[in-house]
Amino acid sequence: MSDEETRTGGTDETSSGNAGSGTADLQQEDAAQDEAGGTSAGNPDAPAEASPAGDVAAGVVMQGEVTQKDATDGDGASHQKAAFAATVLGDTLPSAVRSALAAGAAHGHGGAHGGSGHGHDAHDDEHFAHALPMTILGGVLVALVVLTVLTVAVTSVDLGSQGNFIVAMIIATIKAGLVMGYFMHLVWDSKFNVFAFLSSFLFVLLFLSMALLDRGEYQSGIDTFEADQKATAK
Amino acid sequence: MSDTSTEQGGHGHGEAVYPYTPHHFYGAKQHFESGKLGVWLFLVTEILFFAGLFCAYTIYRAQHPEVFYWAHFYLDTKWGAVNTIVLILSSFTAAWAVRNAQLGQTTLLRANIVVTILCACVFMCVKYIEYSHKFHDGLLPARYFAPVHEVWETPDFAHKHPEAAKAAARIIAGLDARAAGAGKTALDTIEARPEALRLTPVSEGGHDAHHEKAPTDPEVLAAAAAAKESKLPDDVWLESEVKKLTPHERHPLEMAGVIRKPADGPIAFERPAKAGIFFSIYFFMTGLHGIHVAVGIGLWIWMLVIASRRKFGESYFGPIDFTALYWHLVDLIWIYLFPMLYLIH
Repeated sequence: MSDEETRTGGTDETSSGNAGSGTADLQQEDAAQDEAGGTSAGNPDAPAEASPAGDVAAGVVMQGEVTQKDATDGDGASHQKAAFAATVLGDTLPSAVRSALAAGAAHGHGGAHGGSGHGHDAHDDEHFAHALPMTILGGVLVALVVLTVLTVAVTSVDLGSQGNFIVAMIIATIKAGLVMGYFMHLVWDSKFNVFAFLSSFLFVLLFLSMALLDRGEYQSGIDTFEADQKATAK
Repeated sequence: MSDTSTEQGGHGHGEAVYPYTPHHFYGAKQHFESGKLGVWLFLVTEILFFAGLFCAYTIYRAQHPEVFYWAHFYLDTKWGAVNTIVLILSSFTAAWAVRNAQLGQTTLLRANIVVTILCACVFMCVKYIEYSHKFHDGLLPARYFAPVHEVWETPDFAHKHPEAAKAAARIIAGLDARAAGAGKTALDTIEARPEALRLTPVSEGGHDAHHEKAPTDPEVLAAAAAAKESKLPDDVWLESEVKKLTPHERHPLEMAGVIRKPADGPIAFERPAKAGIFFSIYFFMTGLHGIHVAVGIGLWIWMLVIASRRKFGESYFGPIDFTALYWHLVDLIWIYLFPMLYLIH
């Protein structure tokens, strides 16, 4: 019986087998409880065990009963409760009860820590790194250098007073996109990170546009002030 | 017993990975993803941090484009381009370092971190060269702004607008001659404003390149002599001289705000008003960025130390990843600063 506690990855067959034997134990425990409770349906099996740990055993046995019922219904919180009881109260329990709980625990809960032991899929808890291939790293580097050269070259072409600035900003944005998407890994990242970062640019846009709305508002006042200053200085 | 191993992610499963996942995380993956979200939110605050200065730049350039055209001749595009390439290279080695950490390639990781730090130091050295040139030329922020050379004396302007540069030299020589001839001091001339051309620079203790080097160009000397002879009042003389300029000569000077015709005053031939504000913006934007580079150097040195002490691998590479994210942001900001400050045309 005791080796059931140490089993971590029990299969369904084994646990239901244990559930079967657990039932027998619980029946014994029920009998023991009855005896402790004062009924006459005596069963000589372990009355001494029941009395000192009586209350504890009662609570645990109830949980064990719940576990037994739910074993056929499927997984649920009861398994977690059983596991909790098993771990917290383990050493105080009679071995019979322990095995019943371990059965319940092993049934649903064995898989919870299985990931840390033997997962092999790509998005496992321990193998989640996505290393950028050297081709992508090198390709983005070349693209960035080429775009920088292009930015400088475009300045020799005259596109009007605002045209040069707009073209330079567009090329800068393409470079920024490459750095953000590939070097900063946003192409493969959680979409929330992308959303958070892009929303900051949205707020910057809001900031700049609001400030630009009234940019000419006070220029006449400034000019008048300065003209007055010049007049008084002379 | 041993099935409650969540708080010891790597223990009991082979190699011990430093550090084990703290107990308040479900596992290494959640630990990493929490840190990543944290760094992204920090980067959002950094973007908004710089946005204030970008706003100052935008408003001022929208309102006074001639100041920006005038000032960009004082900047060396070559150094700006070098800095851009150096930072892009450092971003590449930083991203490569993340890959090294993920694959547990410790030697290559350390090498890439060292190269990143070296590139950052090259950036700071180039920045130092640029700044020291500017200090030497009297191009300082705010009230310390007192350029030693006028814009038409800068090599970039002379290269791009040679006729305009010569014409400006002629006119200034004429103004100088008239001012000297009439026995007036610089303050009495029509350019008696803070931006006055021949006001002694505040820095360098009286060093005035303008007066020190006498014009040797015969054309300029002839123009100066003719100007001295003219009996016209100053502003009329200046207006007639400006009218004589060809469009090739006049247009660049107008674009740079040197020739100004305010609605209620005589024509002016001087630096654009508030020209020094460009350099205030320049020093603050590049200075703040430089501080971020310096902090990044410190972070990478720390990473270099822990690269030897901790075992990075496919389930633990957070510190390198997050430092690289910060570094890429520093690169991003420079990618925008470079065309905004150095490629104005």
